[in-house]
Amino acid sequence: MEPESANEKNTTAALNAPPSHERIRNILHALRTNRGALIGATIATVLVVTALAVFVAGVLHTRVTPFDPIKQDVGPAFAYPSWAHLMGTDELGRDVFSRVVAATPNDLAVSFTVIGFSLLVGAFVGTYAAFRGGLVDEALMRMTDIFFAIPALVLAMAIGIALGPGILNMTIALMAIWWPPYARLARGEALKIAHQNYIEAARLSGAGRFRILLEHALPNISVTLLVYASLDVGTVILIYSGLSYLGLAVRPPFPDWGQMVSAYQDYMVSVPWLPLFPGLVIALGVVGFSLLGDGLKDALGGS
Amino acid sequence: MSLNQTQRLLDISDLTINYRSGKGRVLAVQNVSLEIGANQFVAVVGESGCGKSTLALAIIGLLSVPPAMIEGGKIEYKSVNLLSLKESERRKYRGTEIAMIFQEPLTSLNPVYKVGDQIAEAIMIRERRDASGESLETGIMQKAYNSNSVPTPSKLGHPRPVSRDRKPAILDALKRVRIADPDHVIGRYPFELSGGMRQRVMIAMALSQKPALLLADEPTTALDVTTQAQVLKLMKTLMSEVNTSILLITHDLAVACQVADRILVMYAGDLVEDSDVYELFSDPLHPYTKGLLACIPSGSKNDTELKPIPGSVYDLTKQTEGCKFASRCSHSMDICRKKKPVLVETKRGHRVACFLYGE
Amino acid sequence: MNTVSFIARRLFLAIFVLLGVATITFILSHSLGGDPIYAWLGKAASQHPQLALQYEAKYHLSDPVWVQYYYYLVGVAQGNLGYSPSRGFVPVTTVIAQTLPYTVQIAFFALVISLLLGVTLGVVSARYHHRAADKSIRAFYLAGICSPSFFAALVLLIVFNLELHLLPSGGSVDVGISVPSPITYLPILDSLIEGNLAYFSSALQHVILPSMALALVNFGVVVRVLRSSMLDVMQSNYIRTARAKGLTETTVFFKHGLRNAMIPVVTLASILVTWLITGTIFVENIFAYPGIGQYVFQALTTQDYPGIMATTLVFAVIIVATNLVADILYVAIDPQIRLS
Repeated sequence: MEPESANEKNTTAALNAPPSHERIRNILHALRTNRGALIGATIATVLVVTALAVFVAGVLHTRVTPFDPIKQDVGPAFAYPSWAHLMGTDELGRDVFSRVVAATPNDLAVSFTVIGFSLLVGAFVGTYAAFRGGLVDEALMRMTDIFFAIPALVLAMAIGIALGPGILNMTIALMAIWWPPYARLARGEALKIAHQNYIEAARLSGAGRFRILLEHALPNISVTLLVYASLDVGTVILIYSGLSYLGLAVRPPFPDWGQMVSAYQDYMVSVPWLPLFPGLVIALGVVGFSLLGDGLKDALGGS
Repeated sequence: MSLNQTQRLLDISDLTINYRSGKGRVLAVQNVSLEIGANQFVAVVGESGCGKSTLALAIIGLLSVPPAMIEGGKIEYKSVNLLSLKESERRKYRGTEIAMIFQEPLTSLNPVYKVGDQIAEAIMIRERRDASGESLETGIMQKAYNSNSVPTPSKLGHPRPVSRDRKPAILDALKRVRIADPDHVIGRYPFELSGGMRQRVMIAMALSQKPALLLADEPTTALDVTTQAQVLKLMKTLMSEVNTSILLITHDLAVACQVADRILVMYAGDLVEDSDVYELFSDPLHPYTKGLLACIPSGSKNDTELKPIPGSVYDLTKQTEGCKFASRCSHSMDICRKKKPVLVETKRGHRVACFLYGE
Repeated sequence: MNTVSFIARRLFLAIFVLLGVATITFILSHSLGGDPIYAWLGKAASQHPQLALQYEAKYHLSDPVWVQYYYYLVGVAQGNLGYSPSRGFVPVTTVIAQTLPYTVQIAFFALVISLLLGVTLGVVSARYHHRAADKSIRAFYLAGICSPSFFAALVLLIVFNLELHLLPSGGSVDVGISVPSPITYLPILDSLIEGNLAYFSSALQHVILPSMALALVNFGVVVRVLRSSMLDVMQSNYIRTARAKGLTETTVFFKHGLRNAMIPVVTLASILVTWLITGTIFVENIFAYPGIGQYVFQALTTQDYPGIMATTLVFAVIIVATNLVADILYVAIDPQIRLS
């Protein structure tokens, strides 16, 4: 058997790849057998469902939480956790569990929006840079270098100051700074494929060059980007909760996980569980999405 | 060495090794028996997957034991069955008694240490073992052989400090493998040297431990043809200069014939022929060996086409009752498919496993 | 000579990146809305009319944007970053000079703990991979990296101070202890040099919890990288050769295996520094530790724009510098890169 060039191998692989529905089945099977991934999927599902439930309830002017999250004095202030108040009550007598649940859509929505945006913009910009090469490519690389030099939190914070606080502004700030790594990743993948034989062949058939690259590169890029994105969801939640802690996102009386930790921190001497509950929920959420992301990475690495 | 020359160095009897693989159990080595004496250059020849590398790794004890498993047999080295030893004892034979060099010299040398330091480490192990009485000549072997023992060095449990300046020893090791500028090479990193140089370094490193047996697993396969010839010639020359037997593993019969005194032919885990090299050339017995010899292009103008052996390599996951080569053999008889031939000695020093030459 | 050109290139890149960062902070300062003077003096600029006039003139705040940009860069290069309203209107650079050493102290200890913990657990995970030790280590570090730094800090504070009363809850040192003279400008180091053991021990007690909090949420990456690196390395051919030479498994594992597996950890260290520095914003606040992180936090809550812009720049400088050092170290320990 003569050694094949990398080009030929890839073309053969592309032509012989199992059909997508079979690949999806393989992936799902790989996920099912991975215990960590299952735990992650469970947590993630619970959170997503909760978030949706809270959101829909809000739209319909009802609620799914045991108590109204912003209503004060539904119980004595600083009540110990009990069956009535699973996480106790805060300084204004609000039910903490209801607040934590009600805040779920915030972190999740911000995270998915930022990541979704980064995926789209990153894939497009990265592929374009790979396709164009030259100065455009160089400019993109240098720009991403600059973004890497400033920590996401600090940059988002600075932008947040300029724009003013609020969950929407924070989302915008995060979107602005989150896409460069995706562009870089996409560019890397696109470059690997750009010179393959079958791309050249497609080009000769007359179709527009950029469109071809996009069409062919997209499936490969998607896998890499999606794996990265799934692990990234947790990171956005951490950064957003940090911004929230700093008071730059949702302001009281509306609940937000990070902000709640910051507010309840003042009372930790007498009621230490108060700031710990929302903090724990943040950690749990990040764990869930991280395990899911890891499982996805293992599953896709195998296929 | 304190052995008599007729003493067998390595005596393998009935060795069987299998692997657990995704497809089931694979018999890598089946009932192999062979002997190697002192100062012999023996080559084990066979296609990829015939078990020759497995055999070598089993001798030095570097087989990964799951997934490999030694099902039976003995590997006797200087009358000690290595397979019965605990790992901590087995380790003491590595390097200073049985050494091994591998196919890929670049990846087989540690990239972050200078070549000189890596050789120094090998020398240090030899010196330490000599000092603490762990070397066969002064320690273990002593007990097994001579009852009137030569007084052993002080065994206070702590080896005497060895010479810190090993540079002369390192330079000697490099010169022995005919490296022209050893002072320069000593301070280089592996990636700075050419393939041929690296392999010489590996040989130097192995020999600096003064082993009695050197296993060489395809040492020249990764090198270009010219370098290959140089390294082989070096190994042949070294044979006469040091008291080390060499067991060369190769898939290339031509290479084996250039350097070895004896050839062992393996097919699909079986040892099928064992003979002196000239004897093998003039009178090959096993059909597989004949096939291999016919494959070697003679380089003359009369060669019009290559003569490959028909059929494909034996599938090791399948178990058959008969001779594994039967399906590809032009001389196969009924009995070949039913019974497995065993190694018999047809002439002095020439063994073959084939029904063409009796049961 | 290759090393020199390599360092020169990285230096140029570093300067370019810093320029870019300064540009970003400039743009942001201009998006604050209102008078550009806010970026230099904060919203209370009107209370200091003389200073405001000075700045107007010096930085050409009434001229077109690109002129202001030029003078902004000049100002930054000269070390002028405005005045900080949240700190009694002293120059921002003074505040940074006062607070940076404390953050360096926390970052240093956090880095050391992260590396020690990470490397040790990484090695253990690799040695016993897929067994119970490996899995429990993974659960441990996962819990760490998924926790926000403020959560970890609070947990430590509640456990060690409020419940166990083992360690102090805030500040950099106990009240009333004499401060060491500024030799290296790092108080803990200075006290050690001077022999001021009262300060040294007290300061150590105060720095341990915040550093621990930062280390706990960051060491996981080190474990992951080292474990995977170790597993890769142990499959290498040169490990087989080392065993063939007759070395003990321990020697093979550490002298041949770990030495190679550690190489990626150097690059990792610079990434770690980024996260550690970010974490100080929360951790210093919770432990009332007087570093830059606490300054950032206060600047945010009081809308101290000069403070925020300046600290963004400072963070970038620290990160770029750390990356440069890491690159140089990487070249030093991997001979292949150094010589090819």
